[in-house]
Amino acid sequence: MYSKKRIDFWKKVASLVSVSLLLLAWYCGSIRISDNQSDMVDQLLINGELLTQIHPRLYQGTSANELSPVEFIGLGSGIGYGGITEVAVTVSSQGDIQRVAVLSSKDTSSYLDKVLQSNLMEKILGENIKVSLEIDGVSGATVSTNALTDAIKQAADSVRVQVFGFSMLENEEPVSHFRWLDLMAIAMFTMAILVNKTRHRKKSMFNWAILLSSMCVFGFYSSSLFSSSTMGILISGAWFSGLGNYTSLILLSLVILYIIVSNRNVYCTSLCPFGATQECLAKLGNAKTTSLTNFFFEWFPRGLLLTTLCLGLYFRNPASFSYEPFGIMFGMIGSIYLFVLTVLAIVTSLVVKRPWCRTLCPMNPMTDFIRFNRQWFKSILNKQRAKREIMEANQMADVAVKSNEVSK
Amino acid sequence: MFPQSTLLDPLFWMVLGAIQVLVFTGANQWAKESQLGMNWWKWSVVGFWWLSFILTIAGAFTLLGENEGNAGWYVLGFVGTLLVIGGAAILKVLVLLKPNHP
Repeated sequence: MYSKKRIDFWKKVASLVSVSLLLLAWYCGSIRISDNQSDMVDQLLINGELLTQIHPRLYQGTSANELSPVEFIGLGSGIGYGGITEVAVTVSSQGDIQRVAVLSSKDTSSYLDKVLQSNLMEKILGENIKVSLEIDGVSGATVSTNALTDAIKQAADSVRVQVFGFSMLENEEPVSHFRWLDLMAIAMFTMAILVNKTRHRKKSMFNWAILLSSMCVFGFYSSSLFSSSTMGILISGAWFSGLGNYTSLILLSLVILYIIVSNRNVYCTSLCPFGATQECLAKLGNAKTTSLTNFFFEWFPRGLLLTTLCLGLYFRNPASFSYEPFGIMFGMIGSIYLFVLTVLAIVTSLVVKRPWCRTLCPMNPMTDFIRFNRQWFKSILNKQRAKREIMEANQMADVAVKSNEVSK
Repeated sequence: MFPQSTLLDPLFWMVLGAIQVLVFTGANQWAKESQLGMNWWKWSVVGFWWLSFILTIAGAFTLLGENEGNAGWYVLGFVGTLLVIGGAAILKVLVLLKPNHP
């Protein structure tokens, strides 16, 4: 209907608009959060108290009539699934914990809700910070619990150091965040590349072996497959200050790098745990392959991913806006709507091959975006090279003409 | 299933009962037409699957009727999905074990 040139033009416009929207969302988000923290700390005060910042991580609440401090508010942070979790702890002048509030969290809301519903924060109220704080873990949300626990301990230590003159916090090595799963991600990605390149007659069998291993390791065991929230974490730079789990980010970075270098996506065919689940179900139900080349199925997932990423950047919490069924499938964590979506995707997989991959998966828009821009960049380079070659040829011709004239 | 309705509840259970009658009368005919070569253990597996399926629907919809919406949907979605996958697996086994399967 439309010429290829015209479609390409509109794709270039869409690509530039997408990047601009992401930058705008990131900028607006930074304006939004700049005063957020001090406002929230103000709200922790009892009416009539005056708040003074005495250290970057410590506030002092003084009664309006007296000059001696009534309570202290310590700030602390811990590293969660999607980045830093910040907590404020209100401590009395005797060292008793009076209130605890989560200032910000980049974790998936379902995980954070699970931790908060376990009354983890209520259990430490009244405890004295002069002795070590004992906080119980919450199974099924270990990373979020650790983030909150570390943040509370750090906030308590801010008060402890400045008011009571001693610390009880142990310094943690940054290397301890890297785990064997991260190495496994690199190893399995390398294997996936090798399998995709090989012409061995048992290539299909090797591919199945990697797919099933990936489904067990990155799916059911660790639920560390990447999603739109990982993409949001990557572009927001939240990973720079630390993450509770780097495996999904490593996988995503490797996939992007490999698409840029070789224009091929090995993740979907050989590594994706949800893809593996759909493949297994397709085998079970003799599912048929269908191709969806409709304009809607091409552009709707792109718009959905862009909206998700923009919201994630604006609210500085990409994990809250992911819409994939991965959390329900491999961890039974997520809202009822995602549960319904997961059930639909699973049941449909019995009759249609990879229905999720063909419709809403964010991997396709991401791959299309990288491929298109790679091609665009390459064509600009080629045009410049061609221009340079023509100019060089013209210069050579001029030199030859001049030398001919001189010799004559 | 329908907490605020006096009419829809009995209708729902009547439809579920009618489906039972149709399934029980039609299953043998369907197995014969499909030439599945059913024997005692195959019927036991299929019967157990059907019983589980019906109990899941009944259980989930009872929960919905008791205003336990989330629990009902989770039972239906989680156990129901597992049973649908199980059903597909059983069908595959039955087809593979057909007496004249190539």
